[in-house]
Amino acid sequence: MTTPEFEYNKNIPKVNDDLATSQGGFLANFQQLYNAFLKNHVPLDGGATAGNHTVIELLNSSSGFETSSGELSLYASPVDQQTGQLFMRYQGNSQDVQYTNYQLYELNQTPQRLQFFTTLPGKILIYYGLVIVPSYPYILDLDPPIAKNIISVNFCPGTRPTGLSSQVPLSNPVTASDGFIKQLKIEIPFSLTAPNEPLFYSVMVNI
Amino acid sequence: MTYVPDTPQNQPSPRDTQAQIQTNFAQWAVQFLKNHSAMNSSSQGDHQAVVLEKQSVDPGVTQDQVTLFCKDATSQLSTEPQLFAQIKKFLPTINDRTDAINEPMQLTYNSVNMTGPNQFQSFLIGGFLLFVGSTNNIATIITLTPSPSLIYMAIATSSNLNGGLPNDVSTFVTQPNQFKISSNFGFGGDVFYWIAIGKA
Repeated sequence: MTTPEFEYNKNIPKVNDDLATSQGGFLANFQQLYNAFLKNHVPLDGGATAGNHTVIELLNSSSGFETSSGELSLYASPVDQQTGQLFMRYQGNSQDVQYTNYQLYELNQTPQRLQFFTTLPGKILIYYGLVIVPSYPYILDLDPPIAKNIISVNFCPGTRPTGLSSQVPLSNPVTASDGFIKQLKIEIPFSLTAPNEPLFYSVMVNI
Repeated sequence: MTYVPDTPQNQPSPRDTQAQIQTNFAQWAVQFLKNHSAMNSSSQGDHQAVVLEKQSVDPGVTQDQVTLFCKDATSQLSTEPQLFAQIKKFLPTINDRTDAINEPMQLTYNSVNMTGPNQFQSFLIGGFLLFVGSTNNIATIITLTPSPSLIYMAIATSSNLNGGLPNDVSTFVTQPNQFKISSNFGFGGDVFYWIAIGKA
């Protein structure tokens, strides 16, 4: 593509212009339409898929976009101490929902701890995995350490080699000095649990 | 005729390229209509759908934006195009010291199971599969469908009491797509609810 000599001019051609007079404007407009549409789209001369999207780049916006009845809006908006995340706004300027909540990445795995995390729309983060508990009480680290509020905790012992099952432990959040809940203290009410017992866990939190 | 952006040129007279000028306007309207409300409609310019062409490389995001795109993701069962989101890198922070790069995050999977009745399936951001269900026969091993490549978590709970106390319960992963529920006191017919997360 050549660089257009003029910017896009929506008033081309004027009423009394002949085509020759507007030639430069036509050329610039067609080039600018092509170049602007090329962003995020298969080019206008791209054959059967012309007009489809290649990617969708959503520039950060400080506020949501107006939605009428029958419309949904997807947009990007900055999140405190993060970067832009994906948001949705339902029809009729209804509720804004944060769809993506954090940067997912792989956590360190060891034979004693398989740990993962993901997020749900609405600023919810799920920690889950399997931990080999050497003994109780046990401190379960929540990584990444960004939990503001515990909303659900579920445990299930893994079966011991004997085939016997154990009790479901109890837990209490451990709040750090900065206010974030970075650990759970896990305890068991009776002493029927063998050492080095596997324990599946699922912890849902607000972030 | 297709859209030709370098139209009209200085020579010949624009009158002689009238057909191409008309084609450009027509083609613009046709291509724009693919994913957008039509020109001259009351909602012209809005998106009606977003059809994404599969990308072979990650777009990379360095600006303050979120980029949505489609690329192949390989699961235990197949390689399928999935929707991804990539955000600008913001880690490490004062709370999370992990210097993680801004890898694209898989938002979708190509199937859900809404029919049950004893096993349902959805997906989580990151290429994870979520399975939930119930059983009244814990002697039977639970096989997850569609098959995950590995089970990361399997939690079961009992809905019955035994001697005034809940049945104890544990789970044991027997295969990458199977796990078994055990209970010391669960009798035949007792209902156990379960939830499992695996890697697609």
